[in-house]
Amino acid sequence: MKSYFKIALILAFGILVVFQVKSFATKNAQLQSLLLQREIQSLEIQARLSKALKASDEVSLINKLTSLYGEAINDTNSTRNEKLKAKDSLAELLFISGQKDLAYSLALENLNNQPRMYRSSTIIFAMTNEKASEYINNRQFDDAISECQYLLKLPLCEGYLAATEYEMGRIYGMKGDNKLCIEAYQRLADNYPFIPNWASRAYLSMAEKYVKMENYAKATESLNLLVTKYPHTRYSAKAKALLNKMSGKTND
Amino acid sequence: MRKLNLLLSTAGILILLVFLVGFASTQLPQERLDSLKKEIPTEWWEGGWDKMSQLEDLKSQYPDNISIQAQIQYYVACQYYANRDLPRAIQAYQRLIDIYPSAWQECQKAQFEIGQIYLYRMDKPDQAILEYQKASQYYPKSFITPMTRIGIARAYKRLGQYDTALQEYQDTLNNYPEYKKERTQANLDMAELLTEQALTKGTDAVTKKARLEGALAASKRALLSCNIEDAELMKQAIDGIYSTFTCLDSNQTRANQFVRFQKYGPEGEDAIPGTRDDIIDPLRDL
Repeated sequence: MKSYFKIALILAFGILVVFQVKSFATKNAQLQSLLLQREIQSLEIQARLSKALKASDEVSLINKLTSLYGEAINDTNSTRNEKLKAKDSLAELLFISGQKDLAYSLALENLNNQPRMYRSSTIIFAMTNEKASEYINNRQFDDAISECQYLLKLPLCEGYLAATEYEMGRIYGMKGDNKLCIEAYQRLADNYPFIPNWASRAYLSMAEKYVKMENYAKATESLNLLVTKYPHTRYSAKAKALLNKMSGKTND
Repeated sequence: MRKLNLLLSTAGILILLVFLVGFASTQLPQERLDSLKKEIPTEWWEGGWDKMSQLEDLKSQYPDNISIQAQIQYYVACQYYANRDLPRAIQAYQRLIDIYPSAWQECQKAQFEIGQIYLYRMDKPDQAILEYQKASQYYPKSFITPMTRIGIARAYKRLGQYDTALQEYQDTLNNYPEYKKERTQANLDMAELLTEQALTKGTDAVTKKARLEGALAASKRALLSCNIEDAELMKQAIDGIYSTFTCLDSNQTRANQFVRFQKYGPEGEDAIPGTRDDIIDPLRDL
């Protein structure tokens, strides 16, 4: 029976040792991950300073940062969020360093893995918007609208989706299609009431469009909605001024 | 003696088994919840995630575990917030506070989030101030209190009460010196507000200069209090100082000098003191 007692003791001791070794290995791996994150953060700031100064080490810093992001992405101890953040930052870095096509495809991949990632959304929005602006400059409004419609189908940050709806309204306005212009602004106000700056801006632009169409009743309605729903936004003051200017004007 | 040995070894094995089973059963719900939390994006409020069914499932499995129930209720509310169902989000946060007051860690975060929704999503800064005040009043020693004071300052800014906002930021700096991240944030906010005021139309030259210098001093404080792990805040501080120098001087001499100092230090690019490229910190005398 003595031997049973010994076996039990050895077993308990063995379990304890295994737990300790495992916990030590985990802690060590976590520490390595943390050090990697710190190195990345420090390099990000150095690269930013070098970029501002156009210093000679800018390229080497960017290359080093790219490889560190790669390490973080492949690090088995990184959490899902840390890996996503590294991929998002890598897309931004590629974009800044001029590798725009690569940045674009990585950003798209990121958004498919995790919708509404900020940096990836920024890249897709900036590049598509640039294309749309070119079309606008060449007065190819339908092509510009197609670009906006493409953006609206992507899982971008809502701020960018709201900005795209606004841009659609603006382009329809330039094209002279008042109905679709107002519809775009209305969609913006309806779908993004939780982004006060964009929703209020949509109401103001809608009202301005109605004024141009001499539909003062509708203009007043939009402005009143703005003032009531978003009294503290910067567009509220403009709405009040416009309401004062319009007082007396009716459609009757 | 043999009987005693048998008794001891059986007791030892039993204790070990009880310990292991107990350990596994107490860790299980929290571990399951923790692994679920890991799948929620860091910037959860942006949306793009859906864990409602898993949360509900977990909730139904541990009805008597108050800590788990409270944590799940918090994430359920966050899910509504992320889905932009704001009234239900507020309701769910409030329900957490009402039903699980003993889970104060979740309750304080819930109270703070209610303030955030009123300020950033509903454009109701007056209501936001009341909710933030509840958070700092009910949970005064919480890690979230300095952030609620910053929330109050931002709400006053939204209301156009700039002096009150600046005072709130200053109070945050005075009352919570140990909270480095919040101090950095408060200083950055102050710098932004002062710059905005300086650049407002109709501001006379003397006031403009004084406000920009105030902004510069606040950005400098932000830079000094910033931790390396808050790289985003550090970038904001550097950008703020750069643009304020540019506004103040109408040229980029001091702005570039600042960036060079940050990059190379006082010895300059050659890293040798006493040479021509040594740099004086343009923030030194502020």
